[in-house]
Amino acid sequence: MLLFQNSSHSIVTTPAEISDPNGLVLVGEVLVVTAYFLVAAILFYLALRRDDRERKVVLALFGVIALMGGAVHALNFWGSASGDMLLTLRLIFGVIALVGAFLLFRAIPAMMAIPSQWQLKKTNEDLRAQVEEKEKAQVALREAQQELEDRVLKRSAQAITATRELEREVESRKRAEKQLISKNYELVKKNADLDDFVYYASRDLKGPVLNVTGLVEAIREELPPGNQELNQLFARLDDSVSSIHRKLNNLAEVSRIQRPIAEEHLLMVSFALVLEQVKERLAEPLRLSNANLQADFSAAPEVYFSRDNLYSLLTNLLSNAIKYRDTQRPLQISLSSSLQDQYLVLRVQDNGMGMDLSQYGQHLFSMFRRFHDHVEGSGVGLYIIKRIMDNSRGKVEVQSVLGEGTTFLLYFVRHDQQTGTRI
Amino acid sequence: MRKLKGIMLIDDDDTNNFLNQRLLNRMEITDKIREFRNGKQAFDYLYNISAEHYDPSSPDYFKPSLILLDINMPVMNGFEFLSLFEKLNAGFRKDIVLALLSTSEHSQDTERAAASNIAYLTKPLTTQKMQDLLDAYFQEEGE
Repeated sequence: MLLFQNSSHSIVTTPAEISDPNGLVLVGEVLVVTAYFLVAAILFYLALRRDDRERKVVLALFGVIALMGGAVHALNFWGSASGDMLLTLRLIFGVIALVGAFLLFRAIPAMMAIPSQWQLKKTNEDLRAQVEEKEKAQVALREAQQELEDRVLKRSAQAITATRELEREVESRKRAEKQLISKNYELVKKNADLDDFVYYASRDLKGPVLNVTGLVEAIREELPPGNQELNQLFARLDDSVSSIHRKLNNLAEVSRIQRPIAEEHLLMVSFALVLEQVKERLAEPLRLSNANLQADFSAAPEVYFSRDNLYSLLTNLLSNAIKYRDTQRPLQISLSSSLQDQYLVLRVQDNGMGMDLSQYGQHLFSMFRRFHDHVEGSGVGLYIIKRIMDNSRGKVEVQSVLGEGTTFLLYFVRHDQQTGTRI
Repeated sequence: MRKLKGIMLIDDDDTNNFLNQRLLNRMEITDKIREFRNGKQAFDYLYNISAEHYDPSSPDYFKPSLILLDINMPVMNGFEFLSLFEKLNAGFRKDIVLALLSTSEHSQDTERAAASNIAYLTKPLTTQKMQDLLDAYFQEEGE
């Protein structure tokens, strides 16, 4: 535009200028040419500094146009040689200027897209704000991360502390357990000592008590008979002494069954044989109660057991049957043995008074519990039965109907299935 | 029934010996009864008799036909006495009856007595128990 104005102006004015140059026009022309070259230089500089290729070309092209404008002016002014060459140059410049205009036209959208300073500033501000925001977010993120790390560290520390505490706890429990075991061992030992003490004490007291019995009898024999008052006293003395004797026997028995049984005292024991011995021992009460005793051990005639303990079991069972018989009918006691799974079962049934198990059942086998007072007893018989069966890993069951009778079932562990040592 | 030649009572319990001696005296089984407080005293006495280291004219020395032996005694107990007794001359022993007399009814004790083939009596000694013992061991001697 500027170029074309200039060039057309130049074309029109040139002959006159050439013919009539004066100083002022010269200065003006020089300034214009200088301005053209400066503009061209600036445009080239910009073209060099721009980093996008398309604008580089456009700027360079403007630079060339400015350069050409300058050159045309200069040529006009100094209007050296032929007018032909000048005309040719102007033509070339015109073509280049047209190309430049075309390229400029093409470049319109790109030029439109070049953001203005204000836009750039705003964008810049936006960007800066975004960056700031991002930084803030990053800081927040870092803080969160730090906090997380702190938390993890804290948790780890807590976990380690907890683990240590747990370890300490386990240690102290282990110590406590050890102490418990040793205390338990001590207790077992003390218990055994106590059983031993009771056993030997009751055994050693038996002699003197028997002596008292004998001495009372001797005094009675030495005294003249027929003294009513003395007889009464002697009767009471006899009762007291025999009560002491019976209690000592029970004590000895209770302590005896707690003592471990040596292996050599466990053997196959015949029910029938031990029953005979018990019948001898209880001959008097059996005779007095007029008991009818029936025994059938054909299914299992022998049991691997301590003979003393089987004797004790049968003695207690039979004397119980005699004690708690129903006086309204003749006493029937039937004994039998059988095999049942891993057990050998001894069954002792009577037709005595029976009892209400729902009322007494739970205390039936407790020591010193008695549910009748019409007969003499110490309340250890069933306790002894239970202890003996428990100690040999067997069990005892009782069935009873009030007014009809009682049945005891003793479950012995069968020896052929039991190879371990028996207690 | 013919009287026994003599009876030895071996028991550390003085009162028990006294009562047993009284019972035997009242039963008039023998004229000679000697008491010993433990197995050792009794064995020393028996050993002297068996070796004839005694004065036959002394009424204190006699060969017994029956020995009643307690089990639990100090110095030497009943079973220790028994094992020494069994080492004495068989000829000397053959007309002596030994019976254990104890408060316990332990199968340990009764089995041991049975193994030595001797009688086992539980205290207190009664006329009935004594009579049963005489019937069992002195039947052929009586009459």
